[in-house]
Amino acid sequence: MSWWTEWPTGVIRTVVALLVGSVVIAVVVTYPGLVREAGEEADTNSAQAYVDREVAGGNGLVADQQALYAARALIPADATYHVAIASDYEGGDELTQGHAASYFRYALMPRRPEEGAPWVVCYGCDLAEYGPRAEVLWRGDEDVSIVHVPS
Amino acid sequence: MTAHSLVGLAGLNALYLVAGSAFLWLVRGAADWIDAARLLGLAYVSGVVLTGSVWTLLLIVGVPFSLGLVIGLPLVLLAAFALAGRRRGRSVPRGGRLEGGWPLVVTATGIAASGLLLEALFRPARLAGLYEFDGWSFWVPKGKAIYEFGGLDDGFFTSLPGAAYPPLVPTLDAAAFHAMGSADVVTIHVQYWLFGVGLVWALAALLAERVPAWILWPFVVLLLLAPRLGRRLQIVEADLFLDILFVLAAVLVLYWLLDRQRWRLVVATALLCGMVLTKREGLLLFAVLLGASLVASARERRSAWPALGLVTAVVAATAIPWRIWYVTHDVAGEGPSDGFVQRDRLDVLGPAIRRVFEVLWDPGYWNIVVPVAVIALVVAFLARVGRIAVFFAVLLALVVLGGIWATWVFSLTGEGYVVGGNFVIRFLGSAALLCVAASPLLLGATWAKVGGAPTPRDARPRRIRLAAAIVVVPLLAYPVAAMAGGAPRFPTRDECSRPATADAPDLEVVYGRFDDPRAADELLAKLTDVGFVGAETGVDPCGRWKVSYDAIDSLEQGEALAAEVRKAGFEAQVEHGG
Repeated sequence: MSWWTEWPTGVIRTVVALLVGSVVIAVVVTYPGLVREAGEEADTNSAQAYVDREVAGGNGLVADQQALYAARALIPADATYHVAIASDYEGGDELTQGHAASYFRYALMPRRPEEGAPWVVCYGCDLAEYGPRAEVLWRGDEDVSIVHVPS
Repeated sequence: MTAHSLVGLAGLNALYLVAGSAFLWLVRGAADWIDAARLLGLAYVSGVVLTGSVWTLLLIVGVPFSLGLVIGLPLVLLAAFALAGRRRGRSVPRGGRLEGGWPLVVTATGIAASGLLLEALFRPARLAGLYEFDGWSFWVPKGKAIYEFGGLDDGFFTSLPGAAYPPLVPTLDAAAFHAMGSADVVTIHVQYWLFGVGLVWALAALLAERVPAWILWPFVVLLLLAPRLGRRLQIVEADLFLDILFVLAAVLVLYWLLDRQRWRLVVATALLCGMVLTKREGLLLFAVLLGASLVASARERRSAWPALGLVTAVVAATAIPWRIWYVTHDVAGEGPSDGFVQRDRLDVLGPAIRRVFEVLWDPGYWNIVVPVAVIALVVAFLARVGRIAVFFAVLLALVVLGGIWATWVFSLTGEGYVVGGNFVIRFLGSAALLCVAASPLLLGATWAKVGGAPTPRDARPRRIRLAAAIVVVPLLAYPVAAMAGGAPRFPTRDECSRPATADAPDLEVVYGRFDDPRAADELLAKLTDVGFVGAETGVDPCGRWKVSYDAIDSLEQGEALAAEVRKAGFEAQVEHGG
C-alpha cells in the first residue's frame, strides 16, 4: 500500500494510474454511443434519395433541386453563367441570398461564373431586364428559371 | 458512391503506401517485417505528403495534372527511393517476432477497440453527402478545378474564398477524383477517413516506442471518441489533415531531440513541408513547433540548432513557390489584413482569450483530452521528467497563444465573431490532438521515472493466439453484423427505376427518363399529340426528368396502358413511383 502513498513518488504513481483509469472509464462510457451513432448515421446516409445525397449542403439553400439539375442539363459545359437573385426573393432558406451563387459555382463546374454571361440562373428576377431576346428554357415551382440571353 | 470509385481510391492509396514505405525504408530501414508493419501508418502518411507535395509544386510551376501524373509520380518516387535504398545498402526486412505476454494482449485489445471504431466510422463516410460549408464553398471546388482543367485555373483559384490557402489538399482531392474516374464528392469522404486511419496507426506506432501498452491504448481509443476529432475524420476540409501532420511531426521532432536518430528529423521535415502547403495555419504551427524545439534543445544548441535551421530552410523553400504564385496572381495575402498587432481592437483580446479556454475545456468538443493532458503535464514536472515535459509545455502554450492571437487579429466583426465563429474550434483541434499524443508520453515517462513496475518483456511467443483472436474476431464480427441487416448499397442514378411486379398504391406508367428537361417536354408533347393525355414531367429522386402517368390503380391497368403506349411506338413501363 505504501508503494502507492509514499511522498512524492507513490502519490505520483497513484495519479498516473488514476489518470489512465479515468481515460479508460471515459472510453468505456462513450464507446457504445459512438458505434451506435455511426451506425445510425450510416443507415440515414444509405436511405437518402440520390439527389438529396448529391445536393447535400445545397438542399434548402438552392430552393429547388430541380433548378440545379436543369442548369446542368441546359448550360453547356464550356459556357459561362450568372446567378441572379432578386433582393426581394423569399424562397429557399436564410443562406440562399448570400450563398446560392457560391453553391452553383461548386455544383456547375466546369462551367464558369461570369458577370453578364449569356446563361442566367434567375431567382425571382425580373426577366424584362435581360431584354426581349431572353429565352426562358426552364422554370421551376420556386420561381427559379434558367434563362438564355443570346449575344 | 460506386464500387468502382472505392476500388480506384483503394488503388491510389496503395500507391501512397508503397511510395511512403520505400521512403521510410530509404531513410530508416526496417529491422524485420513486424517492424515494417508497425510503421505502415507513418509510411502511408509520408507517402501522401511526399506525393501530394511534389504534385502541388509541379502544379504551381504549370505542369498539367492528369491521370498519368497521378499514377506515375508515386511509382517514380517508389522506384527512386527503392534504388537509393539499395545503393545505401538497405536490406530487405526478414522474419520478425512478436513479444508475447500480457502487453501483447493489451495491445491487441487496443488495436481491436480502435479498429472497430474505425470500421464503424467508415460506414457513414462511404455514403456521406458534402454538407460542410467550407467543403463545398472552396475546398472541393478547388479540387474539382484541378481535376477539370488540369491545373491551377486562374479564374477559380483567384476568386474562390480562401484563395491564398495553399493547394495541397485540393490536389489530393483531384488525385482522388482521377482515381475514382469522376468528381465523386460522396466517396471522397473515404479518402479523409483513410487519412484518419493513417493517423491512428502512425501515432500509435510512434508512441508505442516509449509508452507501455496499458497507458498508450486508452488514449488512442479516446482520440477516436473525442467528438471534434474522431467524429470528423471524414470531413472534407483541411483542418484535421493539418493537425495530423503537425502532431506526427511534433512527436518525431521530440524523439529526435531525445535520441538524435536522423531519420526522424527527415520524416518530420517532409510532414512539415506538407503542413505549409496545406493551410496558412500551417505556417503558424510550424513556427510554434520550431519555437518549442529550440527551447527544449537549448542546452545542446550547438548540435541541435543547425539541424533545426536546415529543417527551416527546407520548409521555407517548399512554402515559397505557392506564396509567389498567389502574389503574382493578385490574391490577397494570408496574414491579417490590418496587420499582425491591432491596437485598435484590444477590446476583443479579452473575449478571444476567454473563447480559446472555453473551447479547450469543452468536453463536448474533445471529451476529457485536455484536462487529462494538463494534469499529466503537472505530474510530469513534479516527477522531473525533463525534456519531454518542457517540450510539450512550451508547445501547448505556444499553440494556445497562437489560437488567441489568430482569434484576436482575424476578429473581423468584433466580439460577435470571436465568440460565435468556429475558426478557433478548428484551430484548437491541433492543441487537442497534441494533448492526445502528449499525455501517454508524459505519463509513460513519469511512470518510468518514479520507479513504476516496468512492463516485463516477454520474448517467448506466449498468448499470441489469444491476442490474434482478440484482434480478428471483433474486426470480422462487426462488418458481418452490419451486413446482416442488408448488403451495402452502391447508389446509382438508375436506382429510381423500380419496375412493378404486383399491385401497390404508388404505381405509375413511366414513358421515359432524360437528363435534359427539353427532351422530356418533347416526349410529353408527342404523347399528348397522339392522345395519351394526363402525363407529367418532373425530376425523380435520382435527378432525371421523368415523363409519367400516375393515376394507376392496379398493375393490370398499368400494364394495359403501357401496352397501348408501346403499340403507338413509345416506350412504357409500370413502376413504383417516388
